[in-house]
Amino acid sequence: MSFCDSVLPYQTALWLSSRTEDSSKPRHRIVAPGDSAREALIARKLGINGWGRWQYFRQCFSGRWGDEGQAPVSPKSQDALFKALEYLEFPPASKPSLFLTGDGHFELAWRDPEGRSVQMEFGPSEFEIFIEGSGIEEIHQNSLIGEIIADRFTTR
Amino acid sequence: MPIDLSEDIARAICSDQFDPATGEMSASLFKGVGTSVSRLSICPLEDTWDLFRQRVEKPPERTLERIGVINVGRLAEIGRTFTANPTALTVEAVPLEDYPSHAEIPQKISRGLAFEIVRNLMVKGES
Repeated sequence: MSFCDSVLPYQTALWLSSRTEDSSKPRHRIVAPGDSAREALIARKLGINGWGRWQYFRQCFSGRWGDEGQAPVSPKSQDALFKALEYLEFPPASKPSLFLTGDGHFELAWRDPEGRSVQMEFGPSEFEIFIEGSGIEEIHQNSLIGEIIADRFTTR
Repeated sequence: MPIDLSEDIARAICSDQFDPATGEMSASLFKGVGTSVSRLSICPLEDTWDLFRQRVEKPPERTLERIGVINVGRLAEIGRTFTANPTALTVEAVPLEDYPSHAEIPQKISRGLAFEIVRNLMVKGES
């Protein structure tokens, strides 16, 4: 039996975990199909800070949370976020921020080259876009994400 | 009952709505209907930290990062002069048994207007 066949390291880890973690709140990450591609995309577009906040939200906000029983992360909102990230190109100096709303929606905010705010909130079927510089505040179907981003942003 | 324009109100800014790496705050802090705030005339800022910690903080998922303060008269002015959609903003006292300083902004606040409010917040860190 080689070292790798041994079950001891796994058992040891489990023993340690059982004494350091609240078993009612698992801290391990469940990897879904396509996760590695999504991780690469979010790290490339939002940087390590955005990647970290995404992990924070999906790991810690997967159930009801907050003082009013706010909604958990919406998988459909997450799908819409990643669809948008495929199309969005952020200005070089901008540092996009990722937030989670009380409805469980992901929200992106960044600054245009003039320092004015741009925001997008992704719901399960619709997304909201706010562009301070042009006064745009609109809601569209998620099926139009690519089309709207191409039309509203000149940064692509 | 609307509270006086001279009063200041506080809004909890938690880790889901604040990015410490960029300093950006989410417009969802004020977007929507019935935004909950605390009246500093009833509960002073130094006590509001403990109040918000007890009510909104649930580590590890949610931590209190900052407190945003704004004058009620200034809030009303921002709503009134928001050109895209002028809105008559008020703050109504809604005291709760264990939260006497509780108040709400009853009007529906759009993302653009919420952004203007967030931009005018006096953001306080714990000293």
